Amino acid sequence: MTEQRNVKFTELVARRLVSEGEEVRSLWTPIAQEFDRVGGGPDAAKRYLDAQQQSLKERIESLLNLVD
Amino acid sequence: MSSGFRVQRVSVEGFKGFTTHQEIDLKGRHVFLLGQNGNGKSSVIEAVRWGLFGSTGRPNEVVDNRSYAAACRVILSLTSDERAYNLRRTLIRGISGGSDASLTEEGGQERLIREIMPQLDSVDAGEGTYIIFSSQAAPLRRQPQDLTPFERTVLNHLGLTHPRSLLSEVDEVLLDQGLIEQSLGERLNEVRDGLNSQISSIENQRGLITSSPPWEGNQPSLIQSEKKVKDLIAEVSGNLSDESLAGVSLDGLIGHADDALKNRQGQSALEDEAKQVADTRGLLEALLSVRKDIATKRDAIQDVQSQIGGVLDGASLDKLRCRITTTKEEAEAIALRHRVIEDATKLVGRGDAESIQCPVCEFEHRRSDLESTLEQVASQLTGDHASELTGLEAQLSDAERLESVAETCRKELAELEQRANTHKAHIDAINDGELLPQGHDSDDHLDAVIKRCVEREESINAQIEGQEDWLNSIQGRLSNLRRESSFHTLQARLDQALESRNRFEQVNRAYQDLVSFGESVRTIRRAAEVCLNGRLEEGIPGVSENLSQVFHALTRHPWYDRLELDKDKLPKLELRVASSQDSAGVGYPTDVLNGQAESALELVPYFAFSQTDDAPTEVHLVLLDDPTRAFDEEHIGILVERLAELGRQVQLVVASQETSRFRELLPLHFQAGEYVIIEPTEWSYHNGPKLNIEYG
Repeated sequence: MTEQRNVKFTELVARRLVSEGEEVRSLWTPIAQEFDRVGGGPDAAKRYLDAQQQSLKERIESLLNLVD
Repeated sequence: MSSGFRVQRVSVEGFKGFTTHQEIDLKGRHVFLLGQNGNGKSSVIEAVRWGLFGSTGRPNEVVDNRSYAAACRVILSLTSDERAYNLRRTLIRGISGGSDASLTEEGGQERLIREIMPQLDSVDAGEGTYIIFSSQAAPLRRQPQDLTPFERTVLNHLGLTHPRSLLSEVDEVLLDQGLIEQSLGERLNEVRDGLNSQISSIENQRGLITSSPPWEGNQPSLIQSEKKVKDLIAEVSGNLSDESLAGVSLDGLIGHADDALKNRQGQSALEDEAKQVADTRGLLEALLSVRKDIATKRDAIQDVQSQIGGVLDGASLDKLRCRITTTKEEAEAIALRHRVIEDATKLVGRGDAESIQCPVCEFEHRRSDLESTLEQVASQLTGDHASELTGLEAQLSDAERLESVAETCRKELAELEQRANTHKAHIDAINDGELLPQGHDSDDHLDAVIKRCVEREESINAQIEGQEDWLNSIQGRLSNLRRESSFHTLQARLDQALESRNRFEQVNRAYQDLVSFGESVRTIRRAAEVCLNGRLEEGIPGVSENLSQVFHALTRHPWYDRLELDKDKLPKLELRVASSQDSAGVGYPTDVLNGQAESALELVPYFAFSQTDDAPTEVHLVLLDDPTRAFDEEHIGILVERLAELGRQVQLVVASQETSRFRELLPLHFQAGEYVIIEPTEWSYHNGPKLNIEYG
């Protein structure tokens, strides 16, 4: 338990995600970096996720416009 | 004592009840605001809170004193072991709740608040009074809205505010993700259904054409169909190389073909000529008929005239009428003589003398001579004038009837001749007078002309019939080409729709990427929650122990002496009260505590975590407005005792109505010079609160 307390939260989450697929792990890496960054934290991690989500959404809408 | 900031002095003007400028020198000590409600205790606490955070304990509270002409302003002099700053906050009038804050060093140099006091800059009054006791690696600009102040305090104490906030932030992302997946999923379904329906409809329409194709042989290409239409246009218009058709679409070419056909139909003179010949022939036949009627009428007149001649026997009607008049006069004269002889005979027969005087010559004559002469004269008055007159009048009647018939015939003849002239005038008008020239208008000539007209009509009709066959053929070909054009249009739309369906697969893949992203985020969220809960589970025993000690010290409750956090609710932090005497007796605080214990429970976080954290940051301050609410004397004693312990870590600003109890207890638990008692004694509209300040 003591050892676990000394491990950073992001590393702890990364350990749990080891058994997950590459997609999940590769998404977590930048979230963790934003979270650990000085001046970053959860806000920055959310901004990263929002940007990813927005990018995926815009790509779909852009392709949909081509279909419509 | 650590090196956090303490409030050294407070300068207030225009804030709530402060209608004048007042300086309150706290000397960095603990502050106990005592006295009855309504004199301004809370205004002092709220002034400090507003000066620090720009808001009060109650959101949207009006802080501006409208009767104070100058600005609403609070200046806090904050000092630590090494530094001193003035935090100046001024209300921006006209903007609800807005304020300007500046931080200056003692020398007057302005500094950025977020550099010197980042945590203070990032929180507001609602949570600020709780979290200022614990350190944080980095301040949060945006606190999770779903956390209670208690949860924030505990999480901050455990250093898990950021991980817990991450969960909240990810939840927001997932909330958006769900909405985006749903709305885009619905739109994708609509587009997919629309495309499939469109393709099916086009295929059906195309099938109707291909089931009875308008072309012969193989299905034509677009270029082949265009060439067919161009050939047709050339055939109809006679223009074999129309450069203006270059680049025109198949639909456009069909339109050109329509126009060419309409022009061709409009230009045909055969139908006009046929009409002219037919009209002429009709007029000629009418003229001939009239002329025959005229001849018949003339014969009839001649016949009647002949009959009249027979009746009159060579005389005229006037002579016959004269003769009838003469005969009538003669008959009347003879009748008169007969009456004279009758009278003379009667006169001669009177008496019996041999001789009698003659009534005419007045000589004496023998009666027998006279009677003989009278008989002789009477025998000479012969002739049948009555029957002659009857015969003459019958003759006149016949002649007059025949004359009337002749007159009617003459009138009819005149009308016929008028009609004949009209027909001829029409014929001349149509044919410029060439058909019936002067002197060549005999019936034979008319017959000959009519015959020529009939022959011409037959010739023209034969030509028209031939042209109609040709036009029908062209229209049939054009109709087929229209269907070919429809086929090509449908084919183009089908190709486009199929291409769209292929492109839709890309959209589908992109949507799957979005869904996978959502799944990945959900997986990460689950992992983060497990890790956070693990950390919380590690910290909960220590937290529960601290909470229990403070709770027990504040309440001395005979049964409930423990506070625990429900592990089943993690990461939500929910307090339960329990008893060390019975491990099964766990309950919700509101269900089992009385009002006093509940009031004490609200204070527990202040005491529990301020004591355990030896490295507070920035301003070391606890603001407690009326913490003794619902406390009895014993518990007020316990509270002051705990406040004294808390006061070793932070500066206290406490307001209470329990003036005498506090005055009794404070010297027992605080060192002289450690605190200041401020007792607002009265408040006036012009001067604001009057503050009695006692330095202990």
